[in-house]
Amino acid sequence: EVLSEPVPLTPESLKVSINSPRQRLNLQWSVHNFLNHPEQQMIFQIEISRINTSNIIWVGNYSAIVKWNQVLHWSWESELPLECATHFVRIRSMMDDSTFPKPKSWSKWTSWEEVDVHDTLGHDTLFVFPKDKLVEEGANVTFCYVFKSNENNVSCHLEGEQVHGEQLTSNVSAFKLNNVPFIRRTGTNIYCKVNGGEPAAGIVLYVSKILEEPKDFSCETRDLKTLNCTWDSGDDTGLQIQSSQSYTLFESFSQKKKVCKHKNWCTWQVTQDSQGMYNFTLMAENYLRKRSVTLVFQLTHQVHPMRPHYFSVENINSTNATVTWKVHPIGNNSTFLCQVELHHEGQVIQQKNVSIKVHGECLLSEMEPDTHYFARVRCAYGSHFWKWSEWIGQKFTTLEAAP
Amino acid sequence: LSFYTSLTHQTQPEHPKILMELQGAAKMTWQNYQEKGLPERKNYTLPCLISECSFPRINSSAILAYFQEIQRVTVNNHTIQEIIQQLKKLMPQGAPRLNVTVPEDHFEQKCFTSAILQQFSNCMDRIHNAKCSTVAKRNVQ
Repeated sequence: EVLSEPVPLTPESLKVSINSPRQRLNLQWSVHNFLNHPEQQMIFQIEISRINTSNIIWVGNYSAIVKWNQVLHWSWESELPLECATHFVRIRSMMDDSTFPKPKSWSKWTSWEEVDVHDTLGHDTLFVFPKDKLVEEGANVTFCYVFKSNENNVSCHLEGEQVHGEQLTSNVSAFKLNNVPFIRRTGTNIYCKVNGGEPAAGIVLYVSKILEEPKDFSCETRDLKTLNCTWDSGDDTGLQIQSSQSYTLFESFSQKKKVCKHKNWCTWQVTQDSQGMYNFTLMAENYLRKRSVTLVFQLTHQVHPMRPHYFSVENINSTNATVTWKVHPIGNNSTFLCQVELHHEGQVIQQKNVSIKVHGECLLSEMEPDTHYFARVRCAYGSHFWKWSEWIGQKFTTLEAAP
Repeated sequence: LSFYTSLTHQTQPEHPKILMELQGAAKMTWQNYQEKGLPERKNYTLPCLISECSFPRINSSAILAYFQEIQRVTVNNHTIQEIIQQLKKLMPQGAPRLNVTVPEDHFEQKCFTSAILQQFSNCMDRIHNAKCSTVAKRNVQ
């Protein structure tokens, strides 16, 4: 049975408040005396005017399932600072329920709700807005001046260069800045002044570098106890009024999180009960944006052994020598692949690979008597190669040949 | 250096040297203050000198108060820190601390800082130039 469409319900108790720093109008309203439906799918149409009600600058719809006497909320961001012009808002509604046949009709509009900030401006005569706005490099920004007098000999300057705008009313002009650049951490200077008049009024526009996605995100361990994660953070987005971006490591298997103290490295403790696999998300964040990158790896595939130690060259005779060294043990019963090089006059003349547990030894032979050489060794984790350790080495001289 | 000594009416011998170093730091601080596009401000003035009897004296306690406030609103400026250290050396014993209020508004803070740095640099230059002309006169006599 198809019901005839009920009379659409006009929204009631429309209230509009201002969030000036965010240049947002916050609306709230409700719908009363529903028929016998506990809740209702509705569409609300919102109109926003500027300077006068006939100058409609924005129209949009908002759908919602509405409960009886529920207070609904919605907000709108203005590209123009709200102090620059009076705004007006009205709203109407329509049932959006399949039980009612099309076409449907809109309710009556609410009356216009006026939003005027001018009377809260204070006793000065010249004002510039927005105050201390924070945007990213490349954004488009509109600023305005409000001059409490109808003479119009006000000029505005961006970093000392005069800029020209559009007159909105007899005492308000707006200036559109496109693709604003980053200039300095203490912000971009904008001021307006009455030609031949009293002191200028000005604002600081804070233009931040764009937060970049961390690059070259990598983690490794030198002892299977601590993971060292590093990344390239790109530009520092810190400003006088915005701290530099922060970095947080989140590991999804353990669900653990760590706020990193440094902007391009962080350590993570490997716990006894921890798993072999790791799924890290590195989150970069500042006031305006978040960026993240992920990295999944097996712990034992990221071992970067420490530089071997106790390196020495022994049993040197006229043609042979033995190099010995020790590695820092990693975990239990791990093996290492070590690479020994013999250099003469800056050239690698011998290279040998040796697999060891902790103590390494390698015979160097077929050398020339009474000759200067340099021997060095480095090692990598035996079960899965990730990186060589740093080198350790020593110069030596073979003995003279027996007569 | 006798001219500087009279400027500070201080007995410590190193004061003239401090004033000479202050002059360099003042110039550098003003030149390094990279805020472009700020309007001229006449309403922010630095009481740089105290006119006493026949000879002006540097108003170190007042200047110090201004620079300590400027340091609070500027991001790690080393030359301002250096100026503060030098001014503290010139401070007469028991000098009252001047109460200086920096504007809350960020744009006005910049105008205030710019005006004070410029006036301090000019003031130290005037002192330096006055010293040169005094020495020149003495050489002529």
